[in-house]
Amino acid sequence: MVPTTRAAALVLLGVVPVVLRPAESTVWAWIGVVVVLCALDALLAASPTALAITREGDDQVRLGESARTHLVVENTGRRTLRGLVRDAWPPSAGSRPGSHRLTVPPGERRRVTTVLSPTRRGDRLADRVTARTVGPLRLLARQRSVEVPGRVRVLHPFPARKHLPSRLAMLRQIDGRAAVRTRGQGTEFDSLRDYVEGDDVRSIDWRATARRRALVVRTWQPEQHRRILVVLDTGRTSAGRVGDAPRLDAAMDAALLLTALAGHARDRVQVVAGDRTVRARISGADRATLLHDAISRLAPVDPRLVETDWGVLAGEVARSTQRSLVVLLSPLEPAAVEEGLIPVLPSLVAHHRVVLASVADPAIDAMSRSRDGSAEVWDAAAAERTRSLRDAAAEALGRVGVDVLDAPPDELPVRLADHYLALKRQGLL
Amino acid sequence: MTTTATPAGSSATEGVRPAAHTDPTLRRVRGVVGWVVLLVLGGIVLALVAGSPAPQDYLHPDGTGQRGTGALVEVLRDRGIDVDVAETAGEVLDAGGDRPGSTVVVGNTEMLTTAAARRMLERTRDADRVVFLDGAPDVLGDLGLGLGITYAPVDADIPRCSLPWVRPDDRVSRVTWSIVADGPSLPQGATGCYPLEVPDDVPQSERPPSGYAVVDLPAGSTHAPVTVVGFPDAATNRFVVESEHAGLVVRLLGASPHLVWYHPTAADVTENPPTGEEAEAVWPAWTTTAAVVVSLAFVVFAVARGRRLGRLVPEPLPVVVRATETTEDRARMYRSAADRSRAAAVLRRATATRLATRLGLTRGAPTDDVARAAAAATGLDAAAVDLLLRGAAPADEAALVTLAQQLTSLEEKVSTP
Repeated sequence: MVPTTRAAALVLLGVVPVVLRPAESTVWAWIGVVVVLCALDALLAASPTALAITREGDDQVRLGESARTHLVVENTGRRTLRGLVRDAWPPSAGSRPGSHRLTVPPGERRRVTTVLSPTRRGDRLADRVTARTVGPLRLLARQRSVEVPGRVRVLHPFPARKHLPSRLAMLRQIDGRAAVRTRGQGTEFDSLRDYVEGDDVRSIDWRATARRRALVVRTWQPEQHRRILVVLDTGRTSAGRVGDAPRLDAAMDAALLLTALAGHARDRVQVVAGDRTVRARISGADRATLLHDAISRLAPVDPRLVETDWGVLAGEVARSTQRSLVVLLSPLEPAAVEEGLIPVLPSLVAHHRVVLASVADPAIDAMSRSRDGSAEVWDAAAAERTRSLRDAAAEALGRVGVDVLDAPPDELPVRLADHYLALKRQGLL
Repeated sequence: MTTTATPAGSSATEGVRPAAHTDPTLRRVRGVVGWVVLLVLGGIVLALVAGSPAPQDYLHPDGTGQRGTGALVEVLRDRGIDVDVAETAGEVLDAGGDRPGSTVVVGNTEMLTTAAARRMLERTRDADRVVFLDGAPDVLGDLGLGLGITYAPVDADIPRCSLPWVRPDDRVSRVTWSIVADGPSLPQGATGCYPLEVPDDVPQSERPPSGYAVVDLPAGSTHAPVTVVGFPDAATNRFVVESEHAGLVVRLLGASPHLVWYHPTAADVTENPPTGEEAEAVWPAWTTTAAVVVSLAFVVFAVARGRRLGRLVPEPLPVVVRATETTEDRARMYRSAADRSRAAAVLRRATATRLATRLGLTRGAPTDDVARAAAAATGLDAAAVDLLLRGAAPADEAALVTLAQQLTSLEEKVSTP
């Protein structure tokens, strides 16, 4: 029960009778008039408990796009409902408008739409829905909040998906489905078919030709059903921001591009994200929904300020004894690499092919290049030191037998995809 | 300090009680309160020890300066007269100024309002006498005594009147005010002493009405006997010894066994505000009630706007750490330590490593090999390149900047031959 600004204006109107008859009793009389009007209005207002509110609408949205969530407000009472409804969301959900003004006659229902333009990845849970009803005079409002559950999952924008068509084209080249056919190590026998003009004469299968009395060629396809394990480090080093987003987001971008590509190549992709514990695990059993699963399951994963326990993540790799391509998406931080990662690497490298993909910070390169004044030169020296430490860490990893990719956020997905294609072409998976 | 002494034997059963008294906020508040109390107590003690300075007001009964009347009050006290000082009209009554056997003397009237003077006069009807020592120029005309006052800085010769406290040969030399009748003549029963003669050379048109330096009124229905004195300077420490001033004022004020010295202050004005027919005329009669209505409306408005439409929604925010932070801090550290040799070594090694890669040498190639190869590739002097890559640490910051820029230009020359 709360007065409206209109009630305040009504009280202020009392100045007129008070000027005409300046006495204390006039003030009391006016207060009486206002109280009676307010009470009458409150009696005539629809009860906010006589509302049935249900929610419908989008349950996921890609970061940078807008989702719509609707509230269906049904008036189950006998009086017309006038007032405001607020659908409350956390600030980063970017909900617009803040409140809806609506009038619902008894027994009818109305739908109000809130547009969500989220500013961060992750799950956004709706808070309470608050209804404030006013009487016909709009003097007194009655208010009540109810829980109307709602969740919108804000997905990774996956900007690297623009590179997918070109990498798929490269994959088809290896695959033998394209005009140019390659053959060699890393390919396996697919089938025999009739020779057509333009085919490589070296691929003619003479024994089959002799049997069929027609020219027959062998076709080849790259290795399939290889196991690819993408490990996303969500520890403290991934929390550092490069540009405007944490390193983890760039790493996810790369992981998603690789997942999409390897899925098309009929490899079995698994994605694991974790720091001290495993935070998300996408098994990739169903290839059709693999990418969607990965995007959806990785959406709520945020970096945490804890040191990554590589023993736990290496345990995930060791679940299968099949030789795999293990892609570690972790920043190349010298201390973290030396203390945490290197000790677990030898056993991994012995059984698998291990690639470490790290998000580099272009700001460090900019710092090392700018040498105009004394402050910049100190910065440049510090940046060179950082780079040499990273190079040393990369070298140490290389000695263990790990392929290291260190690239800025926008290049890393492409570099990782190309590295995968190169490995595939050479049959090194 | 942080542990609670629990009675032996009970600690095991009661467990650990929350140690409320170790709450740091509470402890800090206590500390502050303690200091404040100490400061206030110290201030009070100091004030008691030092006492207040002697007042400098004109005609102040405790005033020891030239304008005060401390000497006169001391003389009166020596003669066995009980002197009380009152600063408000209320205090005059509290001190017993409304009883027979008391004389009320109004000293400095700068802060005397008409309301206070009227109230004082009315309440002191039973007093022996009320004396306006400085003539009360601001209020005398409003008191309904039938007297007025004008400025007249002249000497008075002889009294020419018969009052108990005035002797025929008492001369007064410091007259300030001339007490005049508020009509054709002084009120009935009034006695005027020291008629003031206007010098002959003043033109007829500018001659002030003839008045007296002292006017004595008998008791009336609304007031005790009133004496209005026009020579206040005669009571001050400076002039009380002049002429026959001392005897005159001591006889005037020492007539009763009890003297109340009324010295109005700002507190008196607050207690007796100027009665304001004019003040009320400024604001319309409905001002107060309208103000009440407006403030009520404001309160309703505040309540209406103050109610939220639903609660605030909290949100856990992600940590924001820039990835360059460690590098920036390292730069700050180099800078604050002014470690030029280390900075130069780092820059040189980075350049040498890049040049080695560029020139087809192994990554860990010795620096003099790199310098030689770079000189060969660019055509620069081998010794200069060697000095650039392996020379001494720069002597100052300017040299470091120069070195860094030379390294950059060397790399550029190697990469764009």
